[in-house]
Amino acid sequence: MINLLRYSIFLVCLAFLLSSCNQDPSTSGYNLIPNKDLLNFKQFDSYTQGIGQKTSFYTQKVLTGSADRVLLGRNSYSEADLLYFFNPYIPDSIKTYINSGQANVIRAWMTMPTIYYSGNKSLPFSFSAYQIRSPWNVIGFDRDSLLNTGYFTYDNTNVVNSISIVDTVISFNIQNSVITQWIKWISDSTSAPKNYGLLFKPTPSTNRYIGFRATNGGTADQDVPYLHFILAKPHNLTDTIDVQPYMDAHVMIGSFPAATSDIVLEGSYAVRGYLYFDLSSLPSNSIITKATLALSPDTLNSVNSTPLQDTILVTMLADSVKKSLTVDSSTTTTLVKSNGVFTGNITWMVQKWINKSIANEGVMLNLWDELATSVKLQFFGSSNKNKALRPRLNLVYMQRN
Amino acid sequence: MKITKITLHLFLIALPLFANGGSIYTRFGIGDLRLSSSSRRLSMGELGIALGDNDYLNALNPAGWTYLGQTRVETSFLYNGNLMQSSSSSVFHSNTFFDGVMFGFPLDHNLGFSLVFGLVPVSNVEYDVVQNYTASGGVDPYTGEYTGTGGISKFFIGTSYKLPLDFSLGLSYDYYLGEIDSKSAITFSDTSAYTSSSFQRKLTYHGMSATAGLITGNLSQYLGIKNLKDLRFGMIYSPSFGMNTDSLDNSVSIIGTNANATRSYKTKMPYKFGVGSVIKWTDEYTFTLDYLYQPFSQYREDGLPVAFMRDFSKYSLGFEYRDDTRSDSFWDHVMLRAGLSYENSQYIVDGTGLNQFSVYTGFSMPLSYGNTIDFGFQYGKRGAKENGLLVDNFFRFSFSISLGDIWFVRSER
Repeated sequence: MINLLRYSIFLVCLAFLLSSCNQDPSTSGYNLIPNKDLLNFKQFDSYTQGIGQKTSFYTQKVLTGSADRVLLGRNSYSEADLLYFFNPYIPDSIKTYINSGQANVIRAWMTMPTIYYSGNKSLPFSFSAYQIRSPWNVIGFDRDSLLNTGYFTYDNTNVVNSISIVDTVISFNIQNSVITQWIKWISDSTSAPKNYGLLFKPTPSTNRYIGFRATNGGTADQDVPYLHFILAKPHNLTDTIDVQPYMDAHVMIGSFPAATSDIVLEGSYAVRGYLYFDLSSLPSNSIITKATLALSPDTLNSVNSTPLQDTILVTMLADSVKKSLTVDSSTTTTLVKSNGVFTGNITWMVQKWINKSIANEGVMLNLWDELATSVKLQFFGSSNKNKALRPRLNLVYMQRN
Repeated sequence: MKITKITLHLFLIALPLFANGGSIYTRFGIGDLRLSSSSRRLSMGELGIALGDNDYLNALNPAGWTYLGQTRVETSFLYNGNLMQSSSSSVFHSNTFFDGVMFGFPLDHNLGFSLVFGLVPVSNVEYDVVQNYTASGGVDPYTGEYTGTGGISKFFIGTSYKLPLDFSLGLSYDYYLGEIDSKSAITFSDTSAYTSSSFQRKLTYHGMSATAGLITGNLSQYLGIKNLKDLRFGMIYSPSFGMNTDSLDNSVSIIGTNANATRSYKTKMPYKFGVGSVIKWTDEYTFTLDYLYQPFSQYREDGLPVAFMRDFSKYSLGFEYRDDTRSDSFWDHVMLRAGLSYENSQYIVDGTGLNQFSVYTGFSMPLSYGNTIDFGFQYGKRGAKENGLLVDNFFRFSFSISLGDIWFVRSER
C-alpha cells in the first residue's frame, strides 16, 4: 500500500506538470490595467521644439599609415604626398653579378591600378618622385613628420618620367640608376646609399586626387601597384623582377578650412565635426525607443569621390573641449545618405545621455574612411538661418503614465 | 528516508516551475490572499478557526496547537488553474506553488504547551496581459505586455497554552517578507528600427506582526445532546501593522538595465479578525463554521489609500468524516472532507465588488498512524462579465503531507 501511495505522489507531480498547459497571454483584462502601468509614446523633434544645439569643426592629426588606400594629388586647399618603400628580393647568384658589375638595370617602371578618384577627371594630374634620404615608418609618420626637414629629407631630383594616365592604371618609368642603387645596397650595403624609398609629390598644376591600393588593403594581384625592373646579366640573359611595395603611406598637407557656421568633414587632413543637442528637458526616466539624427549636406561646398562618400561616423565624446572619447568610442554609429540627407539611428547614445550614464558632451562626426579619402563634406550647421537645414534630432521615447 | 527524498523532490519540482499568468485582479494591493496552507483546511472551506490540531498543523489559529499530539511536519503544494472569462473571450492560465512548510513540537501535553514554526504564503500576484497596438503616430506596430509576479510570505513562530476550563490560548510572532515584481514591456518586430524595452518595478516587503488565538473548551456537555460530542468556538486576531517597502524602478532599454528610482515607504496592512466554531457529531462527523474579516479599505501604501480595495470578509462552512473504528482496512481510515464558502474579496473595480463563491472537497489517505497524505480541491468563481470585468474560475488542487512521530520520537527499548 505504501508503494501505491508513493506512486500516487509521483503521478500527482506528473499531473501538475502535464496540466500546466497554459494558453498564451491574451488581452483579457487589459482594460483593468491601472493607467499608471500603461506606456505611452512621446515625440521630441529638435526642429519643431527648437532646443539648443551647437556645431563646429576641428582638425585632428591622424596617422594614415594604416589606411587601406593611399592617395596622391592635390586641389586648392590640400595636397596628398605618397611614400613608397620597396624591398626587392635578390637571389645570391644575382648579388654576385651585381657586386662584380656584371648585372645592370636596363629598365624600371611602375604600374599603379587606380581605385579611387576625387575631383573632375578632366582636371590636370601629374606628379614627380624623389628618392628619400632619411628613415621613415608608417607608424607615427604624419604631416608634421613630412614637413620637418630636420627629420625627413629627400633628393630634389625627379626620378620618374613618361607618365601615362589612363582610366584604370597609371604607369611611368623610373630612372634605372635609382633601382640600381637599391639592388647594390641590398647586395652590399657599403657599395651604395641606403634605400629609403620614393616620395611622390603632385605637380603644382594638379587639381584632383587618385587613390591606389595600399599594402594594408590586401594582396590580391589585381589593383596592386607593382615596381618592375629588367636586370641584364652576362651572356645576354635578362631577369624581369616584379615587386610589390613593402611599406606605403600618404600624408595630407594643406590648410584648415575657412571659418563657417557649417560642419566640415575632410579625410586624411583630417577635419572632424562636433555636434551637441541640449536634451536636459527630457525626463531622465525615459526610454528612448528610436533616436534619428539627420544632417543636411551643403553639396555646393562639398567635394566627393568615386566611390561616393555616403557614410559618416558618429562617436560619443567624453569631453567636448578636449574632444576626448568615451569608453564606448569603439562603438560608432553611421549616418548614411538617403534622399539627399545623412541619417542614422543614435538611440543608444541618447539613452546613455538621458540616463546620465555618460554626460552629454556631444558627438564627433567624421568620414567613415577618413584615413583613405580626400573627400570634403560640408553640412549645414546649427546657426543656419533656415532651421529646416540645421542638424535634426528626432526622438520617440516612452514613459509610464 | 525515502519519504524525505520524495518530499525534497516535490519541493524542488514544484517551487520554480509553472508561473504563467493569472488573474489581473492580483495587480491590486498585495494580490490574492492565501488563507489555507494545507489540503485539510482547503477541503473544509479554507478556515477552521476553532479546529484543534491533534494530527495536523495550521498557520491561522495558534490556539489549535494546544491539541498537538505528536511532533509533526507538514508541507503542501498547490496547483491553481484559472479560467478567466470576459464578455468576449477567455484564457486559461495555471500555476503551481509551494504552499508552505510547518513544524510542530508538543512540549507538554498536560499544559497544552507546544512550539510551532513555519513558512507559509500570505498573498500571491500572478498576471500576464498582452495587447497588440497598430502603427500610429509614426511608431511601428508593437505588442504591449503587462506582467506581475511574486507575493508575500509569512514566517511564524509561536506557542500555545491550555487555560482553565479547557480553553486554549495561542500566540505567534509573524515576520512578513516578499517581493512583487511588475513589468510593462513593449516589443517591436525584429525588422523594426524601434527598440523593444520595458519598465520594471520591484517591491520588497518586510515587516512584523503577531497573531493571537483562542479556542474554548468543549461546550457540548452543557447542552446535553446525546450525539453532540464536541462544541467549541474560536477566534483569532492580528493587529494592523506596517511593512517596510522598498521600491526599485528599472528601465530596460537598448543599453541594458538602468536603475531609475528607489524609494522606501510603509505599507499598512489592516488588522485581521476571525471567529469560528466546530461541532463534532458522534465521533465521525465534524462541522466547521467560520467568519474572517480584514478591512482592506484601511490598506495604505505610503500613507495613501489604494484604489480597488475594500473590506475583505469570508464565510465558510466545512465538513469532515472520519471512521473512528479500529479497523485494519486502509479505506476505513480514509477521511473525507467538503466545504462551501462565500467571500467578499478585497477587490472593488469601478464600483463593482468582486465576490467569490467556492465549493471544496478532499480526502486524506493514511500512511501510518498519525501520518497522512491529503488532497484537496476547490472550484471558485469570482467577478462578473459586465462593465468590462472578468470572471475568474478557479480550479485549485492541493496536496499535503503531514508526518508525525516517525522522525522525532525515539522508540522505547
